[in-house]
Formats: sequence, C-alpha cells, structure tokens
Amino acid sequence: MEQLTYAAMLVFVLIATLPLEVLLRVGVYARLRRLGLVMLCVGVPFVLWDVAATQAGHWSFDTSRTLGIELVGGLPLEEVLFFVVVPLASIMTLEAVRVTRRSWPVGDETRPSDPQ
Amino acid sequence: MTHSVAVLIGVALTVVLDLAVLRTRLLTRRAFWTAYAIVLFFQLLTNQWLTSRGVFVYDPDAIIGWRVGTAPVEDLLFGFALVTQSMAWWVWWGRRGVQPSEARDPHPVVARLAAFRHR
Repeated sequence: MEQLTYAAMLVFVLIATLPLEVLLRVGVYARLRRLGLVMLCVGVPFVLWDVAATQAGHWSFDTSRTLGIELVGGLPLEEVLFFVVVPLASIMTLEAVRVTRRSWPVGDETRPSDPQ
Repeated sequence: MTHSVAVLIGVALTVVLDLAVLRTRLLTRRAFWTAYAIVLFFQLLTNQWLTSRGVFVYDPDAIIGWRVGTAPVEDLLFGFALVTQSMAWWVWWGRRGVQPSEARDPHPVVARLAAFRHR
C-alpha cells in the first residue's frame, strides 16, 4: 500500500476536480487540443527543471512510496504525471470561477459577434 | 544554485511571462486570484500528504528551512509558478483561437440549485 502514496494523491486530485467538468460543465476535458498545448508549454520546462534539481541533488524520491517506474532523468512516473494533473486541476478551477462569476473576466472571452 | 534561488527565479519568470511575454495579465484579475486561493488550499493539503510521508527527501542545504507543516516554503513558490503558468498558457491559447471559451451553462441541476439559493 505504501507504494501507492504518491499515486493516491494524483487520483485524489483527478476525482476531486471531476465534478467541475460534469456538473459545472467547465469544458476542459472537452478541449483536449488546447489542454495538450498547455501541457507542452508548461510540462516540458517544469519536467526539465525537476530533472535538473533532482540531478543536482536538491531532492530525491523515496521509491518505496512510488510505483517504482522510473522515467526521464530519474523521475518517478508519478512525478511526471504531476505536471499533467496539476495544470489540469488549475485550469479546471479557473474555468469553474469563470462559470460561477460571469462578471469576472479571465481575458480570453470572445463576444458573440466575434468571428470564431 | 540552491532550490530557494531557483524558485525565486521561477516566480520572477512567471510574472514576466504573464505580464510581458504572453500579456495575459492574469495577475491583475480577480478570477485568477480566486482560483489560485482555491488551488493553494488543495496544494497545502496534498503537499502535506506527500511531505509528511517522506515521498520527497530534501537536501537541507538546498532549502532555506522554513516549513509550512512539513512542506518546505519553496514548494509554495514552485506551485505558484506551475499553477500560474498553466492558467496563463490556457488563456493565451484560447486567445489565439484554439478551442476558445464560449458561454456554457452549468448542468441544469446546478442551475436549479443556484436559482433556489437566490430565491
């Protein structure tokens, strides 16, 4: 069970944010292309940062508390998935605020008259 | 370079990215700070789970030593950079017309609840 410590946290975040898609209809899972581009723009630099810090010895991972699958630069699978799950949850939260507070602009609103 | 210095640079780059490079200016918006406050609450919860169980082992020489619960204070800044950049790129790609934001109504059940509350 100890091996699931990190994976459980990622699953918790995914489950906790799922109602935002289903009930608030934030439409983040529905926009996978836009989400994928964000993952590239954010995930790549942060994974590189993480690899550099791990290689420099700033921190290490207790592999008795991860699934034991090691990826690029000595990062556990969960650590790489962290940079997918956290951006996803962040964006869903921003979209949830937008849905519940229509008068607070996020900055990418298109007026109905604008060409798409 | 220590982790403390790295996260300060990370935060500075994030501010420059949002205000000057992407010009998304999320840092000036109430919607952003509200969303960030919610994410921060969950970051404190989940990071406490991970650090109290020793998933991460920090080199004491790489961090300043201040902790929030069992988590190094540096993690808060790292999280701020990650969360803010994620939202900024999301808004930027939306502005570029990639699956842009359109008016969406909440699920009818939620809408009914909201209407009920305001009665």
